[in-house]
Amino acid sequence: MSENPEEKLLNICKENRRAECDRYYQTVLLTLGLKDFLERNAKECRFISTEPRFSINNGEKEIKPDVVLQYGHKNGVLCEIKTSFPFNDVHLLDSLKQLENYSQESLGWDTTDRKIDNHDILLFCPMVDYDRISLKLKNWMETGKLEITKNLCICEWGMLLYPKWGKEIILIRKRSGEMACEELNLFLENNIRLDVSSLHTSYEECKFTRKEPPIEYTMTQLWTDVFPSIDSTDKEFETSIDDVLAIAYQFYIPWSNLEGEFSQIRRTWVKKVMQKYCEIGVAEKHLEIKGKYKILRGKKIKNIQEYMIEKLCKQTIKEKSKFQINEQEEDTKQKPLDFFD
Amino acid sequence: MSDSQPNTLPISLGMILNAITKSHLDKPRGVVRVLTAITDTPFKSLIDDFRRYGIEIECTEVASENGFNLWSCTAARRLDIYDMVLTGNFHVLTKNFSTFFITGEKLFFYKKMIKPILKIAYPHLLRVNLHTGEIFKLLDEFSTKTKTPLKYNDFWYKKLFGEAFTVKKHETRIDIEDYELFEDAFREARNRGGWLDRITVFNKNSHFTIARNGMLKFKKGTFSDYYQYFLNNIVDLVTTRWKLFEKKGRSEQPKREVKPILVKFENEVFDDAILKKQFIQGLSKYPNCSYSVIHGGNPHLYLTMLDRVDNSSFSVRTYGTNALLISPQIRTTKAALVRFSTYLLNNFQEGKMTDFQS
Repeated sequence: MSENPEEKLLNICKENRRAECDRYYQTVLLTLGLKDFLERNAKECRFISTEPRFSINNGEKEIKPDVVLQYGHKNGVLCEIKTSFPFNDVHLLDSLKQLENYSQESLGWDTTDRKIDNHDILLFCPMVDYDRISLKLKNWMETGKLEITKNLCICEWGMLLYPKWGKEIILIRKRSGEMACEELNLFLENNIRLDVSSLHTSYEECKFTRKEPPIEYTMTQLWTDVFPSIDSTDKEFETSIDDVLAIAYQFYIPWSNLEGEFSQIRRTWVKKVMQKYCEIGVAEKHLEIKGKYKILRGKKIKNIQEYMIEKLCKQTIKEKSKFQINEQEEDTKQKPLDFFD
Repeated sequence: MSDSQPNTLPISLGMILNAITKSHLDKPRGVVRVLTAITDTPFKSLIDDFRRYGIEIECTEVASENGFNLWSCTAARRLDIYDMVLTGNFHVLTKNFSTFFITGEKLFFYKKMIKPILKIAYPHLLRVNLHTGEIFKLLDEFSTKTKTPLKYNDFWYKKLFGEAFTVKKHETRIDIEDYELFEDAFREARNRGGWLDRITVFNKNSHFTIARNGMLKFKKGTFSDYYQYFLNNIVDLVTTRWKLFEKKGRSEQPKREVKPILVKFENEVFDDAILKKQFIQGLSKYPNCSYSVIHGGNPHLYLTMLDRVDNSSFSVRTYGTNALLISPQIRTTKAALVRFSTYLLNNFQEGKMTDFQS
């Protein structure tokens, strides 16, 4: 039986959102693995943190590299981890424009004046995408569509079963470009193999990077892990953004303590999550007290992440179709005028 | 006053229980069933819970000796689908944290009254579970100490995803010499690619069934012997094994660290993508639980679980091709980990659980 267009749209949306959550999870694993690898092996290059706010244009615009590395006196690397790339050129270019921002002088480094003399850019590209992306990057940089003024090094990465060890590893392999950091160059040229099984205990403590996760990912983590520690009954209960953050401050401790960060989870993310809970009917906003919510746990949700994804996809599709109807109505309203004109 | 030895019942209490169970065994096709559970809550305070779930229950303490208490209970429950009221009697023997439910009523009463009572009392009362190896050890000790070989009538064995099979070889045989030793049943289950789930064995003085779900059923023998050689030891084995699940939540750790549990299986159960999918399907049927598939099996599986009975959460991930890693989260109770481990044991495969860090 073929799906009706609405069902098809819903399934595509769900598939995309699931993939987004999975990609975020993989990014966290790769970040943890890199941190662990550098802490064990590097003498010069050090993993800085994932939290401190980085900005360009004298603090006007925030940039969010996945990983920040520093070496020598005042040198660094801004790393961007990609788990997938759009196939559409317009969207792909838009996604790579991020690297242009990373080319600018940035503020937020672990130095006294938060600045650094020079930095390079390291792009982590999924193995399956490397050939396509490197070609596009080359073309766009040559034609001036992309202006990346810093050294750009591209590594491909993937999670795979390593038959020799019978273990699951993340393999990082340098494919193009050079960095000023000799030590890091050498590591990448020799391929980095991260043992995934050794990362899982750290993942339980570090589930968020500095980048905002897909909202369903945070919704699932709060529902499964944080809410039971606020209220252990199966009844509905009241909580606040501050309550959630208080737990997050204790259990999702920041990757470092730079720039007054208290948790991996940011207040703005929790705010958005609470808002979404209300929109999909699993929470209610307190009418009188700002920032307070009633969590309606009576619903016996079997697959939490799937439930959140489905509800939000339906909401998005509904909003889009409403928007389209409004547009059509606007068009029909104008038609008589057009006709008489 | 009692002159009981360690692991045995006080003499007069033993006599009372032997008399009670004998009265059941003397009936035509009489059997006694015993279910063992572990609790931190006094039995008396659990009774109100049963009433809240619609079971009319009256329990009277009939004996008390050396820290043992024996209760006599009458229970009634309306079963709408059968349009009947189920009534019957059972005894409850308690000592410290162990609780034994003893009944000589029919199988229907055991299934529709005793088992639901234990379910209602969760998470205050945790029903024990045994590993195949532990059953073997208990039977071996019994056979050695009583100096009589144990032979088997039948056994059940389970295979991956809890698929159960029965082997009844001897029902037509009469000569006792033709029955095989209990060790052969374990070997046979293994040869068939499974593990023994329950077994019925006998010798001159006893005839009983012991199962991985902690049920002991006997047709012949005295309660005090079964207590000495099985029930008491089951409690010891299980409490030692369950220590692994104690204080595992991150909120109970001084440095908020994660204390994972490694479940190791004998076979390479996760080297096949289809088996991983089947494993997710199996977990989705785990009652009173919510889950999320964060990473769906390429190459590893990673799920988060929320036990809705007491709001405990933990994550489950495949570890290599023959193990699982269970990582307790901020709030994770012992009861939730026991319940989940029992589910794994019965519906997936038997595995050995150890502290991951050690």
